[in-house]
Formats: sequence, structure tokens, C-alpha cells
Amino acid sequence: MKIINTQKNKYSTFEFGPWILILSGMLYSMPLCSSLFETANNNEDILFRALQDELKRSICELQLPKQERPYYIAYRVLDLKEVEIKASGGGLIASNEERSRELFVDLRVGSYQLDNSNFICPTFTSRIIESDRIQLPLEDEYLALRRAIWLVTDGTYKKALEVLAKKIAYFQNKQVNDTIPDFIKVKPCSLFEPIVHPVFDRSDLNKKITALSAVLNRYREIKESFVRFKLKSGNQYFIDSDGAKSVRGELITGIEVRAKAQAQNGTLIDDFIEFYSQGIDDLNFVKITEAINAWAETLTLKVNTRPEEESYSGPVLFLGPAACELFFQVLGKGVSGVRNAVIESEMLERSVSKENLGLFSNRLGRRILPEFISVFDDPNLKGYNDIKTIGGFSVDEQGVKSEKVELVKDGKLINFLMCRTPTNKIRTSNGHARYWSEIYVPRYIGFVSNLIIKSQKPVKEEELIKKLKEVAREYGNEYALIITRLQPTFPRTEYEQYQRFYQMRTKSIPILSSPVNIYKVDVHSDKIELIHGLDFAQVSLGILKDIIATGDREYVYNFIYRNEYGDEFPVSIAAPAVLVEDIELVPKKEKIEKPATVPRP
Amino acid sequence: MKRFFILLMTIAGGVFAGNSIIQTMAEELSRSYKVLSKEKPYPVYFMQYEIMEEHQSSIIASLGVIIDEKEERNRYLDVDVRVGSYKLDNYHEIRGAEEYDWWSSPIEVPIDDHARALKLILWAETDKKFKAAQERYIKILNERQVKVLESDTSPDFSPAPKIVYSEKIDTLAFDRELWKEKLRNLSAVFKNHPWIYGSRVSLRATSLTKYLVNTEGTRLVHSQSSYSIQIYAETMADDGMELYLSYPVFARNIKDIPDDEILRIYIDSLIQNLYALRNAPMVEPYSGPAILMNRACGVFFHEIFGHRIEGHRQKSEFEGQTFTKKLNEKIMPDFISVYDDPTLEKFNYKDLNGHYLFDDEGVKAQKAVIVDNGVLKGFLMSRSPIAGFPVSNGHGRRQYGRKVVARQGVLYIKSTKEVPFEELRTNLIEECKKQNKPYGLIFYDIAGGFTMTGREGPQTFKVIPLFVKRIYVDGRPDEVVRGVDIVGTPLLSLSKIIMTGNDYDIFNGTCGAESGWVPVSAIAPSILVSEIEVEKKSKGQERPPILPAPIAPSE
Repeated sequence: MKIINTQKNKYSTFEFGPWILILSGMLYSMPLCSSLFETANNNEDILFRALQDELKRSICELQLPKQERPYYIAYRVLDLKEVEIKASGGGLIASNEERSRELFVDLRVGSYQLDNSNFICPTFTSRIIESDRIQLPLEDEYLALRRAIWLVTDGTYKKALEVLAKKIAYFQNKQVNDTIPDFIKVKPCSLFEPIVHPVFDRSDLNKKITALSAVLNRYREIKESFVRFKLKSGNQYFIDSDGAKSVRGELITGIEVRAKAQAQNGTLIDDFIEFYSQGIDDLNFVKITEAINAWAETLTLKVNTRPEEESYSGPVLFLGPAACELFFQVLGKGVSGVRNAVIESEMLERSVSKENLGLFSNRLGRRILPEFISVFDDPNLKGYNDIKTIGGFSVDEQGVKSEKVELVKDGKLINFLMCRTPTNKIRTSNGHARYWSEIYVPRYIGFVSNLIIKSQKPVKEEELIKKLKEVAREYGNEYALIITRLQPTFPRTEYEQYQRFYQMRTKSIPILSSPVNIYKVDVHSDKIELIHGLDFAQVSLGILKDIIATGDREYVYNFIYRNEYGDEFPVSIAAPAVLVEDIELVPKKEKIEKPATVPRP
Repeated sequence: MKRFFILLMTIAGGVFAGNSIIQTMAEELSRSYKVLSKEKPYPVYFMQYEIMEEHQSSIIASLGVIIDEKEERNRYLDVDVRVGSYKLDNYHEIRGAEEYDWWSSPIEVPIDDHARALKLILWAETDKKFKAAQERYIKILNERQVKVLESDTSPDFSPAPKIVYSEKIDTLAFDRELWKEKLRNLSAVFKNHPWIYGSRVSLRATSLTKYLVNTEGTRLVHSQSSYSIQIYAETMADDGMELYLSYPVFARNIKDIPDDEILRIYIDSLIQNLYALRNAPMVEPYSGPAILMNRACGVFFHEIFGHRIEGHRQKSEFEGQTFTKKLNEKIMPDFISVYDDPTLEKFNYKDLNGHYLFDDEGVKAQKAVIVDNGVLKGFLMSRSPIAGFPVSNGHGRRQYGRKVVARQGVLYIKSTKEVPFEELRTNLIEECKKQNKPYGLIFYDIAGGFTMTGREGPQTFKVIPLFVKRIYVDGRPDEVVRGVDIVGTPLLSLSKIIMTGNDYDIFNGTCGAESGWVPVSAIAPSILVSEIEVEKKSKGQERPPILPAPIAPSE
């Protein structure tokens, strides 16, 4: 991957990361309206100059009669370039490139103790003067940028006043009071990463992706399939009224494969496989082709086996991506620092997303994992065990310097992933803020970046399988289960996102998603068999405490988490295989459809 | 553009030897049809594949810079599978509550003519459609046993003659960098007007190529491109009312887009009008004489009349059927005739957006006579027949991913009682005097509107005027006003037309209905109506911006 470093205005060919970090002296507690806004001079800084000038004017002068001025304003610009190439059966479906430059405004009125955040109520804003976020011009021209920033700041300020007034009224009426501050002060972060400009040959990529899609043609059971390449390069420009100013570059590429297979008996299975890394050069097409073939063979095999009709209760070994998913879904989401917003009406309650975030919030200091497991999250990691990770960032979406966080020590929960919104237990940010487009009012939450699970009792995987059989025998089982992949918990397609948004909000999502690949292991022999048609009965947070052993190999799993609003967060999870003592799985209804009437062409 | 036209003559192979897409489609169609037409108990009797290739390129500029730029090429597939017979098939209306899925995700097919990849998708989609067709057909058979007979018992589908036609694919041709610079310069004009809160000048270039094959032997390849410039500006009045004006320019060839100097004139006049509008008084609800200027009249007819004469609405048990039983009756003044003629390419040397050669059911576009001297004579027909109209007149249209229904193409309102505009104006004042009204209204521009055709709602329409003037009887100068919407009921409104101007003009636009977005045009003269009703427009409650607009740094 070649990167153009525009700050130096010449081509340099260094690899993406490690970053050259320029950490200037940290400023704390800035007086308002002083000359804290240094003037920028080179071309790249027209954007910063426009942001700074409007920020300064707004914090000093933006005021409606008898109302307060904003006490905090932050501007975050996400200059994004996205490439998407889609192919199917060896034909190119689409190859598109798009650039966007979105400005996100975080404007607060009131005080750190009580402001317009953490409260969800309907607001009616103008179509002409928008609020919270807008698309900025793609070209750097001072006046055009200023006009756009001016209008969205105006709209966001009016909306903030409206929300704060409603919030105060609500508290008064309901006789409730939220004593936790709404927002906390942090050290302003000044950090400048080089800007990312990926250079690549799109027609060459088109060929590679169509070739990958042709790989699936030889599997007769695969009825529909596609391969999608995605490149996302984003530069974040951040500035706020506390004196923070930063630039962060981010590059993620990936390949996603989806297929629908049908057996002769009509069984239909939808499946996927993904490969995510940093630059295009990190995607090894030879290895990916091999992996797709292996995956397609497994899928073919799976669809031709009879669905399992018997329930299972006993030990389960989570191997590879399944172990990573298990830790992400239960632990990663569970330690998200999420402040429960006050919701104005019960009607709205149903519209607020339910993603199982922050479920561990009242277990601080308590044991949530066996004593031999510790967990940390480190946004500053670029790789783990020689595998590149994608979850990292140097500065978060609230412009806070990201920090490594020890989450679980010897099985005990000791911290959460935090943004500048404090919770009951934690009143500090550790630079894990992610922008969450909630209904009516966007908010920030603390979210997983690179989550690393460490075991002090690693056991060789063969030993782990032995142990699995042993426990199963103790349970009186004839066989035990190994799960290698789980469904993700988030919508993967636009249609699923639409469904989640409109139809599934009222339903809660299970703590652990359905298994995708399950193997049945005979406890008396070496016989192992791929099965399908089982789902977890009911899983509680306690599943983590039931881990009795861990493997010695650490898996790294990269993926992009997407919520129902379409916000995307890259995530990396590193975890060993884990043996869980007792889980119940029950048969689930599988899709069966008459096989095609006309033979495959 | 060279076109050759062959009717009922050749076999597919000969004409389309060079066109691999149509060949792949035809091969797969006949392979599937051979099997499915023998499937028991409900064999397939008709199949059609249509692929639409859309190449879109757009540039949007504002205040001298590019704010958005897109380029996309996609091909979408629609598969139609009919089981049963022409008389009764799986497309028959189900009268129970049928779930409508708002999500339409069109089927994408390769853009690179890869035959094998295309065949796989055709096969998988045909299978899905065939299964859905069987399921729906069984439901329909069932329903017929438990519900009363429909009032219109026409067949569900009509046969159409085989057509084989192919033309050169119309590709986009314009200098992107040159146009970016043009748009930057044009959009920079708005910089000097800080009271305008949003403005843009954009170019949207589209080429749409359609490939169609069906089991009647029809094989079509036809292609059209278009270029449109949109000038747009918005602001807010002091009372919070949001105001906007737009000016569209349309052409089939980029060379026919007017020069920058002319576009500058359009921009200046748009700014002038928006300024007048911003400072204009609000109008109170009013009912009285008015003139609808030509383009506004075209939109008016499209909304209040055009949508009600779409064939399928005359048959559906859910529809209001305003005109169904009025065939051969007088529904408007006898000096007015209305027809829809998609074969018209140009009017007064200007390109028509609603023009097409074939519809999306493989039927040749035809002129449909709707009203002849005030008397209702016909409807816009797709291949879904209605009582008295057994065949299509080439108006079955859709956006990819949707089900075809009858739609408007080029709606033409023709008058025999034409006077010059000045005379029409004089007559407006006379009419006001007669009715004892202090003023009349002239509607210069209409943004669009919507109309309720469903049986359960009131049969009303609402049209949203953009620019309206008050014409005083006592000789006071004309006055720009704001804040009104036109409302009414179609039958009554049409009977109020007194006379028309001779100033025919075109409205080119895109119309959205149940079969998606389709390009349309309307040609109409200005009309004088004895009575039009306007009501107060809903208004925003926001204040204009608190701080003054930033200005360029002095350096």
C-alpha cells in the first residue's frame, strides 16, 4: 500500500503505520474566547481554519436572547473515501468509488453537570438549517466551508436549547434527578497523524475480485453468491473549544463473501466469510482463495447433512473465530461504557436501540471470568502476534487520546471502555468514544477497539479436545460439540439493517448469536462430524464463568461492527479457544424449499 | 442516432448476433420456459426478462466548489413469470389485505457481459419468481371461491405482438473537468447573497439502456441518455417559513444545454424571485379566479387528471375510480383534448423527458387518446386489460425492481380556445370583477404535488406552488405572495376551465408511484380557471440563523 503524505506534499512509500505521533504539550482548563486558536497557514489547513474561526465565533457570540451560550463545541470532520467492488459468478456487478466529507457537531448548553445530552426526546428541526451533522464541500474553500459550518452550528444550538429545556422540565415533573454529571473534562489532546491516501489500480482489483467470485462456480450446491471488496480510508479532523486539535488517519480493506447453498433435499443455508485487514497489500489473494474454497467445501458438506433433531446439553469447545465472537458478544459489548439516557416518553422507549451494551455495568469489582483469564483493550495496537488488527485508533471520536484499558484482572471486572460521558461507576474517559446515531439525538458510547483475552493456563488444543470428551463422558454424553463460527449479532446487509431498524427494535437480541459451524465429536473415538440445525437455548452472562479451560493458540478476528443506523466500527478480537462446561443447544427450524425446477445452467 | 425497426420478421439470432446480453437472456429464457411451461399443476404461460443498465454521473457545486460527485454503473434484472392463463394468472389482484413490502432490493447482474455469471443469476431469480407465482396463484384460486365477483372481470394479461428491435447504445459523452469548472463558476454567483442558506448548481447525466426478451419472441435493445442541469436555492423568511426555488434544464444531448451566459440569467432571475418571495406577504385562504401558467398547468394536469386515467386504477377494487364509468361522457370543457404520446421526442425543438420507444412489457409506445373535445375516450393501458380496453397502448412502465403498471409518458393538453397570454390576463381581471373579487392569482411555477386515488381516502389533490403573484383588479402592480397550496377535487376543478393561452410549454420531470420513478413530460398552455381554492401551507417554526453569515476573510 502506497500512501501519499500530503502534509509533506510528496509521495512517500512507508507502510501504513506505525504512526509518527507529534504529541505537543497538553493544555488543560482553557479560558474561553482567548487566542487559543492558533492560525493555520498551509493549504491543508483551510479546513481547520474555517472550523476554528466558526468555533471561536460561536462559543463567544452564539446566543439567543435570554438563553445561554454553548459551554462546549466540538467539530469532527470525517473525510472518507470508500471503494466497493462487487462480483458474482465471475462477472463484475459493480465497481464504485465515493468520497464524502461529513461534519459532526457536538454542541452543549448548560453545564458539565447538567446539559442537553443523555436525554432522548423528539425534536423538530428545520430542513434548511440542519443539526448535528452535514456534508461539507469536498473542496477546500474557506467561505463555502464557513457557511456550511455556520448553519449547522446554528441548527445544533437551537436543538440543544430545546432539548435542555425539555430535560429540565421532565426532571421537575417526574421528581427525578440524575446526579451523575453529563460530561467530563479531559486533557485536550493534540495529535497529528499523517493523512491516508491509498493509491491502487482499480481495474486490477476488479479483475482480482471477479476471479475470486468465479471460484464458487464449481460448487453445484451454491445457488447464489457474491464477493464484495471494500476499502475505507478515513481522515478525521477534530477540534473543540477545550483546545483539543487532532488529525487521525485510518485505512481498512476487506473482502466479504456470501452464498446461499441448497441441498437436493431442499435444505437452504445462507453463509458468509470475511477477511479484513489494514491495507490492500495485507490481503493475500492466494490464501483468501484457499480459504474460500475450504469454506465452500464445508458449506457444501453442511447443507448435505441432515439437520440435528436432538437437543444437546454438556460441554462445548469454542474454537477460532467462535471464541472471538463469544468474547466480543458477551464481554466486549458488556463492558461498553454506556450511560442509560433518560427517555422522555414510554412510546420512545421502544425506539431506542437494544444492542446488549453495558450489561456488566453493575458488576464492577466482581468476578465475571475464571481466575486464569485477564482481558485488556488497546486501541494503540496495530497488530497482534504478527497479524494486523483493525480495531485501533490513536484518538477517539471525541478527540480524546486513546488508552490501553485493563478490563478484567484475574477474572475480576476492574474497568469499562469509556467516553466523555461518565457512568455511575466510572467518571473518566479512556479514549474509546464512538459516535452512535441514536434516534432524534446522537450520542457517544465507549466501545471495543482491539480486545485481547489472555489466559494464564494455556492448554494444547489436542489436550483441550481430550478434556472436552472427558467432561462430556462425565455428563453421560455420547458426543461433545465444537463450534468454530458464530453468526454476527449485527445486520450484514442493507436489508437486514432495514429490518432491524423498522421491525426488530422491540425485540431484544440474544446475548449469544446462533452457531454457524458445529462439529460433533464422538467421546469414544476420533470420529468427528459436521452438523447443523442447532441453536443455543438460553445463554446468560454467566457463560463466561463456566469457562473451564483455554487453548494455547491465540486467534485474531477482524470485522466491522455495524449498528442499525449504519454506523460502522472496526473491531479486532484476540482470544484462545475456550472450553465451556455446560451449554444447552436445541434444534432450530431450518429453511427448506423445493429445489430448483429448472436444472442449473 | 441510427435506428432500424423490424416487426415480426427475423429470428433472434440473426439480428442480435453481436449482442451477447440479449443472446444470453434469450437462451436462458427458452431453457427455463421449456421446463416451466410443462410444470404441473400450474404451468407457466408467459415469461419475460428485462435488464436495465443505468449509468449515472453527477456533479454538484455550491458557492464555487464541488460538494458532491458520483459516478455509478449498474445493471438490474426484472423477471416476470406468469402461471395460469391470460384470463386468470398470478398477477390478479388479491382483495384481502396484501402485505406490501416497502423494501425493494433490485437484482444486480454483471456489467461486463459475463454470460455464465448472468445465466446463474437468471436461473436463480427465475426459480424464486416461479415459486412465488405458484404460491400466489393458489391463493387467488382460493379467494375466488370465498369472495364475491369483482366488478370488472377482464382478463389479467393481454397478448402483444412480437417485436424485434435493436439500436446503438447511447453512452454518456461530456467533458467532466470542463463541466466541474462551469458549475464551480455558476454556483459562485450565490456567494454574494448571504441570505440564501443553501444553493447548488448541478449536472446529472444518465444513460438508460433496456434489454428485454419474452416468450412471445420479443427481443429489444433500446437506449436513451439525458443531461439535466438543476439550479436550486433555499432560504427562510423571518417568520420561519422555508422557501425554495429551482430551475431545471433538460436535454438529450449535452450540446443542447444552454450556454453559461443563459444559465447565468436563469440564476439571476431565480435569486431575484427568491428574494421577492422572502419579503412577500402571506396569503390568506382564498377561492377565486386564477391562471395556471403553462408549466404549472402541465404539473396540475399530471397530478389531478393523469394519475386517475391510468388503466389499472379502473380495475382495482381499492381505487376511487373517478373516471371509470365516465367513458364517452363530458368531463371537461369541449375546447380541451388530452392525449399521452410517448412517441413525441421534441416539442418546440425542446427534448421531452417522457419520450420512449417501447414500454417495460415489450409493447411499442403509442399515442393514447384520453379526452377528445372534452369527452373521455380512453385510458393509459399496460398489458392488464380493463372493460372495453382489451389491449395495451404501450404505457406499462416501471423502475427496476418494481411491478409494471400503466403510467404517463408525454401528457399533452391541447386547446381550441386559445388566446395570447395578455388576453388571458385581461380575462382573469374581468372574471374577478364578475365575481366581485379584489384580486386573482397567477401560479407561475409548481413544485409538484400529490393526489389520493384510493377508495378509502377522500378523492382530493394538493399541488404545491412555488411562485405565485396576486393580480389586482384596481390596477395596483402585481404582488408576489407566499404560503399557499392549491387543493381541490378533480371533477370540479376540470369543469372550471374558462379558456387557455396559446403559450404551450414543457414540464420535464420524474414521477413516483407504485411502479417506482419514471421520467415524464407534460405539455400544456396556460389556463384560466373561474375558481381555484388555496389553503395555508404548513410552516416551519425555526428562527433564521442567529449570527450573520460569515464573509470571506479580507486578506
